[in-house]
Amino acid sequence: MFTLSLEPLEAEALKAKVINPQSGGFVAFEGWVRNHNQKKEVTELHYEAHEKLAVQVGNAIMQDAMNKFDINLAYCCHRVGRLAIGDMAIWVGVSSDHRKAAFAACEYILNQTKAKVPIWKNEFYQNGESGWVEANL
Amino acid sequence: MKITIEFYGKLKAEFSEHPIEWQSDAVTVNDIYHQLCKQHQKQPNTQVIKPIINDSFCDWQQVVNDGDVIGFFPPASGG
Repeated sequence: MFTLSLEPLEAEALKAKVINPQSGGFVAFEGWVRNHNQKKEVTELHYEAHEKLAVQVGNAIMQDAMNKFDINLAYCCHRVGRLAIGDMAIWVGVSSDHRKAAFAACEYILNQTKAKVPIWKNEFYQNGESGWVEANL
Repeated sequence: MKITIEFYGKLKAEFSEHPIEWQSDAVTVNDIYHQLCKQHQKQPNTQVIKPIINDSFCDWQQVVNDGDVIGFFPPASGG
């Protein structure tokens, strides 16, 4: 399942969505807001999404991952709104019988989400300026 | 024909932060986009920008009707 959240992401609560007794492995990725980009000091990020289409495209990606990899459960949640340095912007978690599929599926979901889900990042800098960020695939 | 146009991501900075009301005799989404680009002196880029109509993806040749809400997506930059 793919969701958007206005609230801070809680890794343990998200992990609970993919744990199951069939799985021998679990892989998660957490994307955090860092304090620099392109040699500029970043103070905060604003994520904007087209909610309906982001969820639609995100869930299509999750279904692709389920079809493509030998995994049991997968979940991805992306924050929207204003995020501070260190906040978690995205969480991807995958459980599977064996580790290889979970690693591959986790990376696939992350890459596809960054490339296709209609979410956009506006960075705010120490010098008071801001700028929409180009895709970083 | 009166439509509403919404911009997302960096297109807000290039066209309009807020949705705009647009009077046009344009027939397709492509016509509208090119009119907008001409007005804002922007180079059209239909290979990169994705159009939507009434909250659903559409193609550039989609015919526009009175009251439609058109949106333009730049490349995603989430994650």
